[in-house]
Amino acid sequence: MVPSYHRPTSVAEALCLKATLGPEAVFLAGGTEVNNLHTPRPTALIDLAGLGLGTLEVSPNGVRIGACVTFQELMEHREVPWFLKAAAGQMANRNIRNRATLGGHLGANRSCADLIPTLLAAEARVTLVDRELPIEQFLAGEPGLILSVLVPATARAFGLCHQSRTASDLSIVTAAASLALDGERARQPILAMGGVAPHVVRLHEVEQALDGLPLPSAEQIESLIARTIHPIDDVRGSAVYKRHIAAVLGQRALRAAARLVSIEGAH
Amino acid sequence: MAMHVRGTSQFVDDIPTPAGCLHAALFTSPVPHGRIRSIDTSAAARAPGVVAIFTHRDVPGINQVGHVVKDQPLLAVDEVGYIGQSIALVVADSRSAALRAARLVSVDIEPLEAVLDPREAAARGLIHGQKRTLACGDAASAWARCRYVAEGSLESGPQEHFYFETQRALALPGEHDTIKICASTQSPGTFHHHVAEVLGLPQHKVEFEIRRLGGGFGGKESTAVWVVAPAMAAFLLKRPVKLVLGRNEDITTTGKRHAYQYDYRIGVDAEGHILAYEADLYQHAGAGADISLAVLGRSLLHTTGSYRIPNLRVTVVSCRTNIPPGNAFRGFGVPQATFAIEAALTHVAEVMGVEPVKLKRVNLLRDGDSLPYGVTLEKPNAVRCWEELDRRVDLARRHAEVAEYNRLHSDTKRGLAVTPVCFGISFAQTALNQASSQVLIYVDGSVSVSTGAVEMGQGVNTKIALIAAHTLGVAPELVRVDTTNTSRIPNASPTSASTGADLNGMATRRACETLAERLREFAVRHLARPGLVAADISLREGTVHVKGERTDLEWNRLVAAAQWARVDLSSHGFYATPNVFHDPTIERGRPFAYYSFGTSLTEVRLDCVRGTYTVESVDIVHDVGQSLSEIIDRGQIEGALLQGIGWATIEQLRYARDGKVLSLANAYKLPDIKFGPSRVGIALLENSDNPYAVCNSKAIGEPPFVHGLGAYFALLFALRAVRRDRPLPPLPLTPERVFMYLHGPADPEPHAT
Repeated sequence: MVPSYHRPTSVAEALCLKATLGPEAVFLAGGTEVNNLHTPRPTALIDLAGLGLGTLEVSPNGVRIGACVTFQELMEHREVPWFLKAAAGQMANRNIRNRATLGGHLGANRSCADLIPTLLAAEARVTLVDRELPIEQFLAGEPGLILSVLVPATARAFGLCHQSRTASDLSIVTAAASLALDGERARQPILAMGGVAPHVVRLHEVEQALDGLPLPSAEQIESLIARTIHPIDDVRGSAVYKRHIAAVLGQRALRAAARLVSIEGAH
Repeated sequence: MAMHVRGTSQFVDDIPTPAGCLHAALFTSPVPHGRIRSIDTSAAARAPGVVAIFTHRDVPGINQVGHVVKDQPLLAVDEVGYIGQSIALVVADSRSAALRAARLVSVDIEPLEAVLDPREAAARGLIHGQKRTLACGDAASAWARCRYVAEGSLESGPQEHFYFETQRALALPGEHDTIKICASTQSPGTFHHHVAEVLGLPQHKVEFEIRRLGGGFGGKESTAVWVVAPAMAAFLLKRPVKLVLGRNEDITTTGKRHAYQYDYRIGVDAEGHILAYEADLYQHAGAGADISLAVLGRSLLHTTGSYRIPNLRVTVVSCRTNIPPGNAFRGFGVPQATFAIEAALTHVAEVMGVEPVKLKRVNLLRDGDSLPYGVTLEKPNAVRCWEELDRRVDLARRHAEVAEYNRLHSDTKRGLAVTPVCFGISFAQTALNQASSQVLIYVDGSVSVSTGAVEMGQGVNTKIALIAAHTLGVAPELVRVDTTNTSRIPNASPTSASTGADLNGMATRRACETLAERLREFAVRHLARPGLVAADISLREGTVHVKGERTDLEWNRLVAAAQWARVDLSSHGFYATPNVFHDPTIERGRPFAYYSFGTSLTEVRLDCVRGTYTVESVDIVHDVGQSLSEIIDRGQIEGALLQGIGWATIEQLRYARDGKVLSLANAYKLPDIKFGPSRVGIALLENSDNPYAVCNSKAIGEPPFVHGLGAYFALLFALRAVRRDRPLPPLPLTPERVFMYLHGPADPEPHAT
């Protein structure tokens, strides 16, 4: 039980409450993360439902997704790009997807978050109260109140690949890749992975090694990735296993983006 | 069923909370093994909402809930043997206040060395009971005659019950020091005894009332802590007390299916007939004996699986380790024993260079074969089930198709496994094979039945109602099976060992036969036709029939007239399974009334690059005798299959080095609808008879669990199609283990910390 609950009707009011209630007060969107916060339990909840952050706007610049848009809404919206729909569909089950929001997903910044690698591969930008940041920079800093995420319109090609034990489980390892195809060459490839570090990471070394060249063989990409990551043992799998499987999944995501293998989730 | 779907079925926590109800939480041991120097409850006692805190000193009667061996105190005294062992009971005015206060209890414990490896425990003599050996023929001298021999070591993991309704009870004190307990337990008879003993009361002052359980699977059969604790608090405080375990509390502190380790050696002749089988089974039993020795005995008696083995020597030992005591789980040691013989047979088939399916068929139990404890089988249905399956799926064609597929594909492989099931029905502990039933006919013609059976989703009450309706010749809607209540049915055996419908159904049938006989005799007097005798009367379709002819005397008029004529309309029925016995000192006897058989074909598809797999199909032929309810039996087969597949594949429980359970609810995965087989075909064996159970039926709860082993062996088939230079992997065969088998280092077994 959380002792105090607040439902502000403006962003300013929400920020004021947060400043007054202190660090143990948390923002509440879908509640799927807050319900898992056992120690320490938050002392106060600031519900974001009244701030009007649940909208999704499409423009020539891309799709602007309000922080309170749920995964299920992402999957059902006609204008959302396929790779975001696919990544949202990988998350847990329908019950969770009906509640969990994009903003909460970013705020929690979990290692095995499926949408974050995809947003990194899409070079999304996160809008906070006072500024807009590239998502990579946002993830590296202190999270504040997230208002929306812009997924820019892009001609880049995407590939996703993930592995979980059951459909309703979180991913053990999840990978998203994007690149600009120039004939056989991959320009400015991005490879982002979850489940291999405390948070989702971009594999810059791999990206640089591949930039401007035709994609090497599956085995070569796998060994590149395996050299770059340092996963840990946890309850979803051992470090040795995750290193092996991450290499395979990262390789498949890249090769899917390059249209060398069929694309998971594309339609 | 409709009530379950609508959410109107009442479980323990749905009973309206009585006024003044308190809530209890347990403070449990943080260490796997240690000596308690002192317990400090002062900070917890000052916490908001706390009403009382109890330790072992407050137990009014005997501080003991050991199920078979008296080695499990309700609240620890001076030593703790596992993380999660109960030490103090905190009672507060809300559940959250009780849980918060429980965290404030502190205990000064001198840590002692913890043993977490069953083989190490056995080597040090840390065992429950005694090592048991089952032998027949002369295994030692048979080896010389074996053409092919295989030997190895294996292990199978534990399994969490994951019943929907966690352990819980509501205790209500009454006048004259009586107490009523609404509990989620499969063992009202035994727990009744435990509560009375702990409270120091005669059993007639304690009443258990059970409507239904949200699943049990064996996990609510033997460990009484979570039922006795709130009863004690309610008794001492004279107020209602409820205790509900949270999901993660349940996972970390309750018993599991026992992990086993195995050493096996098997030998066959040139045609593949098994000549000798030797095995040593190490049961990872945990800190208390609980019900482990009974599980162990059932493993021993099922060690030959579905096969004829003339020369045998198998030992089993229950290893005392510092984890929560393992307990009953659907199958009760049979899946583990079956895994060992199936693995050994598969291994020797590889040595011989033939498909395992051939050796299984050659060695299948036939009419007149003997089991190693001295039983000669009469008309076992092992071969009939196999042949019916073969007729349906064409085993040779399916094997040829898969072999061809595997020859042509390297990134994916398919695998097949035929899994025969042989499962002895009866409690191996002879004394438990008894049940009683109370049947009441009311003046309006409605019928109420009470038995010791506990409804936990397996449909036992529906089966009992059908038996009663059939015996009395009335519509099933007229019969209601009442709650399981110790004031109506005393000393009931637990609802387990798949015997719920067999025992309680037969007792109900007898009670109903007594009533039907009284009503037939009354009908003779009532109809007053010359020359009419009771044998001319039958009760069918809610109407009195005379010599097969329907009369206009309907059931409710017959009953009303009988009551007016002072005929006794209530009856008690009792059943004790005849002719079952076993002498464990010589391991000879007739422990089971009969055997349940089945055979299945499981097919899997393996992604060799990622180590992932899907269970494509399972085709089952299962012997249920004359089914009491086909829809229930099919449901039990499907559910048991899926639970068995889970045990064999993804249900992996990870422990830290100190024995703490790491796989909490968010990490322990059960098969979901997408993981389950894409197609399940179930055929009930036709023209199967069974004179040893009620209405020629056969038990169904546990035997089909064993079909789940097919997932392991079908995966093994696919893995062997890639490489054979590795030993058999442990069960469960998780995607991680599959991947490591294919691509990992030679000794890959990882341990999470």
